Amino acid sequence: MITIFGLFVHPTDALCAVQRIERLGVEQKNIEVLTAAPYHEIRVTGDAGERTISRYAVAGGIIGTLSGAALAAGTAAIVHLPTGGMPIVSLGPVGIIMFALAGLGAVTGTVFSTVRAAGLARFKPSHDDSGLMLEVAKGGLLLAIECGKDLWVQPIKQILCDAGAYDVK
Amino acid sequence: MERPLDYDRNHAIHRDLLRPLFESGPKFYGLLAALASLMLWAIACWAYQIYNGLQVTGYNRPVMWASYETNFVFWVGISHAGTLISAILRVTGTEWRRPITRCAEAITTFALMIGPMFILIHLGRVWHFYWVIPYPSERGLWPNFRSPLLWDFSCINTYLLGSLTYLYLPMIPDLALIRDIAPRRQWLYRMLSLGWRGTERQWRLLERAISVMALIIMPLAVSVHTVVSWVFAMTIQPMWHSTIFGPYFVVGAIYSGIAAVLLAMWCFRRAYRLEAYFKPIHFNNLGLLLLTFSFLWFYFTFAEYMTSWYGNAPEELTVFWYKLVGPLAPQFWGMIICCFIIPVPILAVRGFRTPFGVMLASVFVLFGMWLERYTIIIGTMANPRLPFNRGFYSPSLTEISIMIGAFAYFAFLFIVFSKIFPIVSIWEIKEGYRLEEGAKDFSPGTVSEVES
Amino acid sequence: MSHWGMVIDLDRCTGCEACVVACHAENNLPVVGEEQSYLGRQFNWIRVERIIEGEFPDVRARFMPVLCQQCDEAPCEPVCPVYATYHNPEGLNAQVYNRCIGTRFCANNCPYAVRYFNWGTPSWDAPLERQLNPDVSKRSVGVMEKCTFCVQRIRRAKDKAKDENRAVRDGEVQPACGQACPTKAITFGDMDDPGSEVAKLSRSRRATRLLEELGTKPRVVYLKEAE
Repeated sequence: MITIFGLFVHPTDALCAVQRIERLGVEQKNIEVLTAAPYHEIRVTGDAGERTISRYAVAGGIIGTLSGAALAAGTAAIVHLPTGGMPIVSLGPVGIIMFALAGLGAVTGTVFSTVRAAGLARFKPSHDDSGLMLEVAKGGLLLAIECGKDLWVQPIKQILCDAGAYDVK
Repeated sequence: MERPLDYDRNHAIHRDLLRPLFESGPKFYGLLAALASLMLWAIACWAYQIYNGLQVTGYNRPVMWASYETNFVFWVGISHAGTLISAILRVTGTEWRRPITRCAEAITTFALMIGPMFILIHLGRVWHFYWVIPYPSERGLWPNFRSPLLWDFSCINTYLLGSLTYLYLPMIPDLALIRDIAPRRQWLYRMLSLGWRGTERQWRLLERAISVMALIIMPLAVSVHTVVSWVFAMTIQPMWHSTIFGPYFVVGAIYSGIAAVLLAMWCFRRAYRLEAYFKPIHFNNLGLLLLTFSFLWFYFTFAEYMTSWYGNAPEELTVFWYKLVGPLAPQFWGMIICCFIIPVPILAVRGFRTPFGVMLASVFVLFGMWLERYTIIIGTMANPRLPFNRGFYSPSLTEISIMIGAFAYFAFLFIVFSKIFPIVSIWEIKEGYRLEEGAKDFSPGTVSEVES
Repeated sequence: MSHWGMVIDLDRCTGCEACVVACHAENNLPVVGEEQSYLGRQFNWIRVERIIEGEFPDVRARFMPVLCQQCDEAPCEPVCPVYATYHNPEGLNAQVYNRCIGTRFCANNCPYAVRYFNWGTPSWDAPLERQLNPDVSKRSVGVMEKCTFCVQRIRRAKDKAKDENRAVRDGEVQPACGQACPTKAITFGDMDDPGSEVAKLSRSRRATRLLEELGTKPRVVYLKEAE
């Protein structure tokens, strides 16, 4: 697997290149656009999986709520203190504990799903060239194409150059 | 070789915002040393208090809660800044929020690290504090969930974790950027940026995660200050046992929180020459928000005191007059002056709503809100229901030292933070510029054509 | 099971404070000295409150011994985060010193202000340390304490009754304050036993309870002739 990089100045140029590379037969998931700030006009990935984050947040919230209820129920079951008629855990506090744990679960779910879906914290060396990343930091758009077939390498490089890339590797 | 489109602008942004990270003068180290010595003195005072017991404070019977609880409520109140400004402005897509979100989120996190510290300091036996954590132990200890202190414990822990996340997630791209261009300390940023590359997919996921977090953090913030107020309101003490304490404290918290953000913005603006980022419009807009909250705060205060006075219950009136004309009158009227009479004219008159004017009003608001918590706590504590037990209170040197140490600690954390992390979100600033230009550079047709 | 209660006849109380001294001796209360006392850090599990009525020269002082009311619905209990204060099976409002972490929340929610905090490590000037009661634990710094209705005396009476295979007789348990009272203003006993002295007295038309309107169900009954 070879990764081909092309540095662009204009988002439109980069998008043109993406379109033409796709037409060549390169799968969408193998094309990435790296930028130092979000470029809302660029959409090469069909579904980034944003909905997973919301789903995990909700799921975490539900798990948190249930563990809050379990904590309260468990407390009522294991604490055998005479309270003079008052309950060991009353309804109001149970609601508050459930609320707090729901928040905790939702936060955990969001962090977990974001880190997972965005491929963060893998702690393996990035294959990105640090010189190219410096250009990205300065404001360039980096197109990274994972090329499965050797046959495609030359045409892709050609497309990148034609589309206006100022550096192709 | 052709230069990237936004090269010059990005260069300027990086120069302005990353300079504090890698250039520190003698002033910085001097300040740090001064703050550190204040902190060390406070730590020594705390050690002295742990060794001797709380007799080294001004606490007594019936004033069982005093300055430490005041500071606790004050700092937890400050922590509401980040949430309101950052979360609400993000959710509503307010454009001018961009330079101030990071600063606000950092305030939340640091204030939340300091506030609960006072709960530890106020404990009689702090070495047993972990008994409030529900974990199975051979002693058969288990916390009592009916206690409002347990609600505080759960809600504050959740909020602290949420705030840390909410500070960290939007910072990841900036950390990656510094990793790529930093002259030094790259190992740190490489570790903290978690391998962020800035692909389109990652950006979309991150922006979604930030919106989700903003939605989660808002009810958490409200819950935190509500349960803090309930520590007082759930008791049956005169002028504490009030149903409006929840919203009253939330409003007061947001009020002091905005003031804290404004003060921090003004300090960073001066210290790091960030006039191009913290602009007069930010001080103007946040100043108007502060003005709104000063009216809201006054309304709640009026409602609270009016009902107590009209109700005419003897035990409530004792507290009421103790605050209005009694020993607490200087603090009470100081609060009214600092929270309402001084800030309102400054904030309401356009000519005074300059960065300096707004900063000045914020300082008064912060001072006034500290006094508010002080009068609420001491007024009731010194006047219990049975008339035989009237008390008095004045803080001891130990308490004052610890309080000053906490302020020093906050400043220390904040300054160190601003020396390691950019105090203004770099990518959000860039995104803002791009969105402004987006309309010019691209017609919607081009985009959709490319997508199809 | 017994349901301990106390009746204090205010019409008999002379305000001599013998009960206060007896309580100090019985329950190992530290004597903190003038300075700490002035700061409001003295220990008085029972204290005699003075109410001055009338204008000079027609002045009259009234006395009211106030101690922990051992409430059935005690406001101090639910607020403790670590169950250091709880309701024991006999309805006593118990304080577990070893569990207390010193949040002082219980004291803040006590409308009678009868809870006392150990601001420092308790100490006794010589030779007071020689008369400490071995049946009562010394408290450590940073914990809350309050009247126990002399639970050590209740224990002893119950043990004795068990050894002799009988129930605890009325009047057998007497807290230190009641024992020391020269005018016999303080009566202690089982409220559930209709024949006991306290039960009879608490049915008196003179009976009243302190801050009853708060719904705390206090277990100390005050007797006072209406005027």
